[in-house]
Amino acid sequence: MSICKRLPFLIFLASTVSLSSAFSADTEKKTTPCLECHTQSSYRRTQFLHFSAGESLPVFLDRNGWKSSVHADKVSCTDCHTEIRSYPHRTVPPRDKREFSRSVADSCKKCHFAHYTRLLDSIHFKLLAGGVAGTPSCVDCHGSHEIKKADEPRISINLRCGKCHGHIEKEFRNSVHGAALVNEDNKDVPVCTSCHNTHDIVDLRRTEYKLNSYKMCGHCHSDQKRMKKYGLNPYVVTTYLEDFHGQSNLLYSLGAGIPTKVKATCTDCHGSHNITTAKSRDHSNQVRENIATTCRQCHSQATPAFANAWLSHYTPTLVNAPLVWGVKWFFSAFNLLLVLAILSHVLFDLWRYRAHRRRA
Amino acid sequence: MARELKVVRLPDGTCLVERFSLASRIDHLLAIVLVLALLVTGIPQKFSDSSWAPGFLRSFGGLDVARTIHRLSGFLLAVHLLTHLLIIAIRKALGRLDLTLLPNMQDVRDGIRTLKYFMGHEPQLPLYPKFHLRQKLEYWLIVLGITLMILSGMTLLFPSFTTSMFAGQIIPAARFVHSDGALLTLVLILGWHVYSAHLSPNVFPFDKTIFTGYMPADDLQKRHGLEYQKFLEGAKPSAPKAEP
Repeated sequence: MSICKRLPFLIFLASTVSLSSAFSADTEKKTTPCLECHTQSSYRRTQFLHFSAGESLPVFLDRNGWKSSVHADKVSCTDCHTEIRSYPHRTVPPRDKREFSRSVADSCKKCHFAHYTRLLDSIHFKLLAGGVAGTPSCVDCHGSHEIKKADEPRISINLRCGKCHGHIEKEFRNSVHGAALVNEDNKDVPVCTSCHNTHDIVDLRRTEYKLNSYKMCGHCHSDQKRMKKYGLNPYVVTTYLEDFHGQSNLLYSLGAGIPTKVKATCTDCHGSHNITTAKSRDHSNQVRENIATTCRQCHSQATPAFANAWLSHYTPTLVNAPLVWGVKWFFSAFNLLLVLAILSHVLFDLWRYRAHRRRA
Repeated sequence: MARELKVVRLPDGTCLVERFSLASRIDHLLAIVLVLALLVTGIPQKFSDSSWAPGFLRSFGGLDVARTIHRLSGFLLAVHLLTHLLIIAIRKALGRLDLTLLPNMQDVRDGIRTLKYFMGHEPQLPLYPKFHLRQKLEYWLIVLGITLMILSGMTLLFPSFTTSMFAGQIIPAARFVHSDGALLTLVLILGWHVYSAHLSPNVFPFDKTIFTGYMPADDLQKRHGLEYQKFLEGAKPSAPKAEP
C-alpha cells in the first residue's frame, strides 16, 4: 500500500536523476546539427524567415553567444522552436515578428511554470489579454539565445524596464537611489523590481498598491543596520504609523475596510522615482515645501503652520515640540496617578467591607 | 429654596426617596449611549496595531464608517454637554436647584475622615450629604475629561481651522490629549464609576437609583446620612411650626 502511495514520487525522483545525467550529452547531440547550418556567417545575409505581414528575420545564430547562455548545455533548439519537426523545415510562418517571438516564448513555461503563473497576475499580462501585443514577453527582458543571470549587474534590470519605460528610468537615475546604483553599483538601493515585483508586476491603480507602499519603503528604511550605515533615521516608519495618516493606512491594510481615498503615504511627500536626500538643509527645506503642497491636495486650506503639524519623523522632545512633549508627560503621569488612586480605593473599600462584616 | 423631596411608599412598606429628576435620568442614559458609541469606535483606532482592531472596525462596516459614527456621536455628546450645563444654569437662575455637586470645605473634612476610616482609624464613615467628595470628584473629572475630549476632537476634526490660529504643534498635541484622555475617561468610568455603582460589595450587583430615580430610605440613611436627615425634616413639614 505504502509503495503504491509513494509510486508517483519515486517515478518523479528516478526520472529527475536519469534526466539530469543524460541531459547534457543528449542536448549536445540534438543541437549540433542545427548549429552546423544556422551559425554559418553567410546565413546572416542570405537566409531569412519571411512573415506574412512582410517582415523578415535572418535565421542566423551567434555560436559564442549561444555557448555563453545559461541554457547552452541544458536546452536544445527544438525545445523552444517546437514548430521545427523535420528537415527540410516545413512551417507556416506566423503573421509578424512579434507573433513569432511570442509563440517561441510560450515554450519558456514548459520549464519555468512558476514564473509563468506569476506573470499571469501582472499588469503586463492584463494588458496583453486586452490586446496590447507590445507588452513584454519572457524574451523581451531575458533575451532569447544569450540568456544571462537576470540581475548581474543590478543596473541591467532597470535598463530592461527602461526599454519601454525610458523616461522613468532616466528620472530614477537622478534620484538618490538611482545615483548610488549607477555610480557605485550599490547593493542597498532598490531597482525597479524591488518595488514593482519581478514577474507579477503590480497594477499601480490598485488601492492596495498605494496602501501598502509604506511597507516597501519600510523594508529598507526600518532596517537599523542599513540605515546606520548611511546615517539615516531608522524610525521613519514607526513614527509614520503613529501619525493619523499612517495609523489609518495601517488599519486599512490590516483589513479594516477599503478606503475611499488612501491617506498620505511616503511617496506623497518624498516622491517615488525622483527621491532626493532629505539630509542637507536645502533638500529638507524642499521636503518641507513638498509637505505643504501635498497637504493642500486634500486639505485645501493648508497653511505652513498646518504643515508643521507633521513632526518630521521624530518623536516629540522638549526641544523640537515642547507642547506635544509636555502633554504626553502630563497624561502619562496623571493616568498613572489616577490608576493608582482607583486601585487603592477599590482595595480599601473591599478591606473595610470585610472588616465590617467580621465585626457584624 | 430647593424643591421638596418626593417620596414613594411601596405596598410592602419600603420607603423610596427621590434622588434624580426625570431630566437627570434621561441625561445619564444619553451619556451612557454616546460615550459607549464613542469608546467602541474610538478604542480600536487608538490600538491600531493590535490584532483585534481591524476586524472589530470591519464589523462596523470599516474604518470610514466607524469614524463617521464616532464624529456624529462626538457632536451629539458636545450638544449633550452644553444642554446639561445650560439646564443647570437655567434651573439655578429660576431658583429650582441646589448646586449639590459643588465641592466645599465640609467635603474636604469628610474626605479626610473617610481616608482615616479606610485606614482603620475611624469606626465609621461620616454622614454624607447628597453627594460626597469622591462622587463630586468623579463627576467633575468626567465633565472635565469629556470637555477635553470634545475640544481635542474638534481640533483634530478641523485641522486647517485650528492651525490658522495656533502653531502646527497643536495637532499632534491634540492627538495625545484625545488618545490619552480617552484612556483617562475609560479608566475613570470603568475603574471608579462602575466599581462604585455596580461592583462594590456595598451595592452589588446594581445600584438602580440613577435609572429609577429613587433610593430606598434605608440605603439613603446608610450612605447619605445628611441627605436622609433633610428628608426626615422635609417629611415633617409641620414640625418647626409645632415648636413655638
